[in-house]
Amino acid sequence: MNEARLDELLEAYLDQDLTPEEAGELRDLVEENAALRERFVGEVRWHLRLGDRLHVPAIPLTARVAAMLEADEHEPRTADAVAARIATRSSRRHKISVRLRRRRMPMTPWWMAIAAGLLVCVGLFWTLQGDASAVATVRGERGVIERAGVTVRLSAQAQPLNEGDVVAADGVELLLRYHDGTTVELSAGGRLTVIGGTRQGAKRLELEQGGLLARVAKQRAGEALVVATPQANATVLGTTFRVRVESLGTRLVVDEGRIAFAKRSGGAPIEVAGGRSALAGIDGSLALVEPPARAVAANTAKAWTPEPFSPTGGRPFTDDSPYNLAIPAKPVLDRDSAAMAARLATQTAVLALFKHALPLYDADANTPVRRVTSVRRDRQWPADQPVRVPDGVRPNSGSNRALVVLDWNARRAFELYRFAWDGDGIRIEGGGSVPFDGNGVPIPASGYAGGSYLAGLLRVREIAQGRIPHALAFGTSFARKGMWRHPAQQTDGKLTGPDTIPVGARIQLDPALDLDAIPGLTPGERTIAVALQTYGAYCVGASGEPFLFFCELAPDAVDGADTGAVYTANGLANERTALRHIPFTSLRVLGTWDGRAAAP
Amino acid sequence: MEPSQRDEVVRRVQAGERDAYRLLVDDLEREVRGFVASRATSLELVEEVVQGAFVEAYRNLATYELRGTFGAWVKGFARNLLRRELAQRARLVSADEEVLEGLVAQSAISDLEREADDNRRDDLARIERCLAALSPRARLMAQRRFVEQVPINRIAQQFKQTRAAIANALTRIRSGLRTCAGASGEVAPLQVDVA
Repeated sequence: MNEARLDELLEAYLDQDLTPEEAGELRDLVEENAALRERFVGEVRWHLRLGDRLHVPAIPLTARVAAMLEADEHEPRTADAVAARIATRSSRRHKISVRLRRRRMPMTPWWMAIAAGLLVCVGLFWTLQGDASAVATVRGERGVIERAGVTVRLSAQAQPLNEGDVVAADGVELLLRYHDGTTVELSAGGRLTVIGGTRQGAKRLELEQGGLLARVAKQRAGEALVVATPQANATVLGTTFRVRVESLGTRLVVDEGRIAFAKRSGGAPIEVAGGRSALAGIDGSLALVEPPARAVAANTAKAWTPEPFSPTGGRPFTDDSPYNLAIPAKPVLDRDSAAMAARLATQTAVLALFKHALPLYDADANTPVRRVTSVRRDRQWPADQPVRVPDGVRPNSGSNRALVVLDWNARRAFELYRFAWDGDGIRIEGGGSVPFDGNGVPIPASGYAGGSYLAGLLRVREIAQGRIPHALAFGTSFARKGMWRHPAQQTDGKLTGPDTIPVGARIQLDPALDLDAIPGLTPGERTIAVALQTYGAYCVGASGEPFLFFCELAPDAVDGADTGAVYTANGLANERTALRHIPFTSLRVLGTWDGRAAAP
Repeated sequence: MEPSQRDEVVRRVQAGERDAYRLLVDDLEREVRGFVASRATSLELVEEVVQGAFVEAYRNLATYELRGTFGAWVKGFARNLLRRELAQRARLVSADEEVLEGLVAQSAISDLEREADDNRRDDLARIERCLAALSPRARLMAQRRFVEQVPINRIAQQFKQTRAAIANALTRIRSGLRTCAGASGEVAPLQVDVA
């Protein structure tokens, strides 16, 4: 029985498709049983040899080597250097990439021929891979399609959609893409049925629960996209809008364009224009809704003065901490700033608001002291330590099972990784602490590869107040291997290349951007954008997501679809809320944390 | 290419004919890739190390002496890159998936240190004959998995079976192919049951 289960988990491992629970189960299986461990290792290695012998990568090795050597010889010194990244998913984790750069000197014939051929090959590759019908692709971890009684787990590969399919987003957003370019993002926890339009004709979706964001290409006359919910139909000709089934009814928010919104029970529709929303209530009502009040900032940038860090306000660490010093007016940028920023800009920046959000707990002199034992003994946690931890604390439900205890008596944050109660004691798999009154750079690092969990953490109260008075922290799957920069002390990055992001790198949203001129910016996005302009954000390590900001877990969060009242009221309603309106195409990367040099 | 022919191409590249390096990459790719794949922990690592080895070899081409050992010289770069990567992966002890990769890396390191030089060659032609000796259904499943690298969930959908059943079948197919590839003589039909 164990062997059969091992084989199943092994295949998921090879597909990089293990859920956190399955990864834990597989690890337990192989660690506890030498025979299974040997079987696992042997099967993986033989599978790789078979795959290597039989599989032909889409981009020839000669082309990849040529591009690497070209990049070697011609650094992007010119301000308008163009980097085009062509990726294919033919291997487990790595995107095989080729970089084409505009050079000052003419290309030699071989390099140009390879580059041109590469473009053709990739074009053919995508043509052969493409599907003329609607397809569903997963952005993130997982989702499922239910078809004729069979449940199919989705992966990063596009899956064709059929009429009658039920699509469920399990944990993160799912993206449906139609052949005409229309996209529908189903929120984490959402569920819909594809009624029609996968091949031709009017597109029709029935949203059962959760929400969706649709960007609808102009539809032919008579073939409007219709999104039906238990209460309403939204008929769309071409626009960007969100629909959510809530406890009170169906809420429609239109970002751009116009939508006819009608009760399913009949009656005249109302027209909802861009920037407006409407509610079809469970009581049969249908009306426009006044826009939500924007959160009032506690202080303007000029009038704001820092307050002491306390359970009710303020920020940790000294004012001259790398996390608390504002970026100077004309910082010196990293010489690869354009390439790095371009890479991040190709991704949707999201917030970790539930599963990987960090719960914070307060402790004082009356809080019980617990013995905390780390399975992993290292510089961060060399021996059992006594830590004040309140009763009943729980870590987040993500794979890191982390939490932070703010000990106001000791004035330290204790950052605990893979937390589990062990009777009255606590077992962790790593941890550390950082003093509130230090500079936020504990030695050794206490949380992420690039620093403390607390440093850069987006707080609920900051969203409520409309002000984040410090730099933020983000993880990226493009973290660079083998190098890091202050305030980071190590890297867990796995990629190489000048457009990968060094752990510790500080990014900034162009401070010259006029945020008031950005349509659709939610209150939460605006608060975050201001912080990114003033303080920027630090890369704190590698993550499974391309571009993920770390946030506090709201005490009243329920699940991935209910992140708590404050986040929700400010437009940050889902577990992986996308910061869709912030123009990350206007990012830049500083050379050093203080913007004083081009490189450390 | 014969070693002496490779050296002649190296000499041309060293003299400034950069285009010719492509000939060496084409010629040695299969050999270097096979060397790396039998010791790597993922296809991602294979691609990265193979690519890196040829890039490093080019960068250091001026130091190569024309002794007919260019293939081994390139594999030396691959070995060093692999050793570094595997050592790093073997130390990973945080996330579950990293621990799993670390186990594979430790096994690969042992092989890397044991063998001074690589004489192992995976006979692609034999593996392909073994593949052809499978039943049509098993061959199709293997084609999907090993050649096209289709994820198991999709294969399960296509074959209308559970993930567990497909996993079980693939294990039997791999085992059959391994036995067949390691044997000598004529390739007999492979009896691998896939429902």
